[in-house]
Amino acid sequence: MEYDTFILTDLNEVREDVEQEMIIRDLTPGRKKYRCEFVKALISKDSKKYPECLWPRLGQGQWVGEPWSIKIAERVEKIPERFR
Amino acid sequence: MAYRYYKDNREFIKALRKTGDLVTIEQEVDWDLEMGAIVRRVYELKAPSAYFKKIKDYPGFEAFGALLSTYRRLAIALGLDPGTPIPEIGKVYTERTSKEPIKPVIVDKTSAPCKENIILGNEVSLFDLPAPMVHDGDGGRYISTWHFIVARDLDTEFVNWGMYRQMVHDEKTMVGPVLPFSDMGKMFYTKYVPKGLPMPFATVIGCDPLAAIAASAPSPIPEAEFCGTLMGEPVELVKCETSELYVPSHAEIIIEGEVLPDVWIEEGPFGEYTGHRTSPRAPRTVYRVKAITYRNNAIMTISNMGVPTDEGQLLRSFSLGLELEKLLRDQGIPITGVYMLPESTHHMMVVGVKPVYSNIATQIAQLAFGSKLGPWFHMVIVVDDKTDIYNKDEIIFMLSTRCHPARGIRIFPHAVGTPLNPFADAEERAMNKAAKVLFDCIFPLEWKTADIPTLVSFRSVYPQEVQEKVLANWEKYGFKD
Repeated sequence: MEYDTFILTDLNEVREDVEQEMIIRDLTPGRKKYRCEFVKALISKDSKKYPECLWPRLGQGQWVGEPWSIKIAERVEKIPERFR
Repeated sequence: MAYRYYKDNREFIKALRKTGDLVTIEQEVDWDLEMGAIVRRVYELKAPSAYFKKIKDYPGFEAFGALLSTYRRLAIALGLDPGTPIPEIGKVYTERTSKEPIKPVIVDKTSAPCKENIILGNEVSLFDLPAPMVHDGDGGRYISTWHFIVARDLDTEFVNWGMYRQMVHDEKTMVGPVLPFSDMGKMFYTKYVPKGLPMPFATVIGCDPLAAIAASAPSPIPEAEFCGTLMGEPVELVKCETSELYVPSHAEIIIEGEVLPDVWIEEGPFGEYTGHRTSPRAPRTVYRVKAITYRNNAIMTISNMGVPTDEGQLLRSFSLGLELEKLLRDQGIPITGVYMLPESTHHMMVVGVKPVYSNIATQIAQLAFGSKLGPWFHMVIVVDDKTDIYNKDEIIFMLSTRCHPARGIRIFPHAVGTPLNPFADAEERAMNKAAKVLFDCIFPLEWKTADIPTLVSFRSVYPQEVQEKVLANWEKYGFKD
């Protein structure tokens, strides 16, 4: 699977190899391409460290360049139950 | 009396085809950037509207882009000749919308085309609609780019139609900015949120052209009634499936649900009407979807905001200018007119005025910036009553020659703005702050007549008989036209 994500901090401040909550977008072609979801995941700037590919983008949508890697630990539901 | 108008986009498409203002694209196009790129190029070339017959992954759906991005198409939507000059279009618009508002009529759902398909509850998925990825780098697929959202005030039952962008997050969730000074923002954040209540909404996609004009107009009249004044007869509305809201029965797609209090999800970035992708990805208002209804062979509408001129820039400039003209006339200012240049992304307001007293330009700027419409623009240029405010060349000439670089420019530093201003710094964007500026192009009244520079033009420095002789002989001299 391939995902992308928006990095809203300085790239040097990105925390690697620690579980963190983030929004990723599914890049699988088809009707659900760009579906967003909240996950808890480990990420690395090393494209081979984790099983899935993560493309970083900056806050204004710019491509960073090389792909990173991601390991999704858990899907997170952010909509309170009373509104689901 | 009903004026000539088009009750839905299907009729409008036929009208544009007849006047040569539409290209029908039969080959399949991709919703993922290709459709957006076509529409963007249409604006940049001032080409005809694009009507897409086949969309990748979405058989049974069509799309319609760049539908109202020229004054020709605006004139057609109002039932006028496509070549109608801008001031004449403005006159018709003002005459119609100054009449008594016309209340909408409610129709039964059996006669409402937007109810031909009804999807409820667990069956709902926003991915069943061909939401485009408009620009590369956007935060998601923007399903709502040329549409309006219907919402109702909790206490007064005032109903607002407004254009607020919406990005698809997942199957049942959309996200978008709702600015606190907007009509919907005031309703939601001051009425529903303090009580912890969700606010019902209905997003109307593929409404008729006049409903879209009404939704983008900054008028105090409720938009459904305003739309009726443009049509000359009542708008037909039908009740929603999941709330007490009403939507135009001939619209193509309706998305119903609730705006959630105290829930925030990251949205954006998005290439906006300022021609830039300015406001960063940030936590924004969340819409939870409960129902989708749509017509058979529904036609998605797509606008692609960016460098001028798209329909948002054109219509917003048009209606903002005319509403500001009403405001200034109501205050008794002797203006000749107000024109907001669409190329300025409705940031530059040009006013012509008879300079009957000193500092009249400052008074105009204070009224305009201080009004409810003030946050949406930051430049006012005031010229005299002999200047053609619709002529860009003339405005640049006046600005460059009559505005004193020190005393002609007046700054208003602490004003309300939008987070979309590309010139604003991060703190100003986050706090909706802006500065405003007036360019006063009026010669000071205290100058002696002998000191006032004389305009040197064909119309101003030759006697009438010489002008007439030259015009009468123009072709005989060897010139064409």
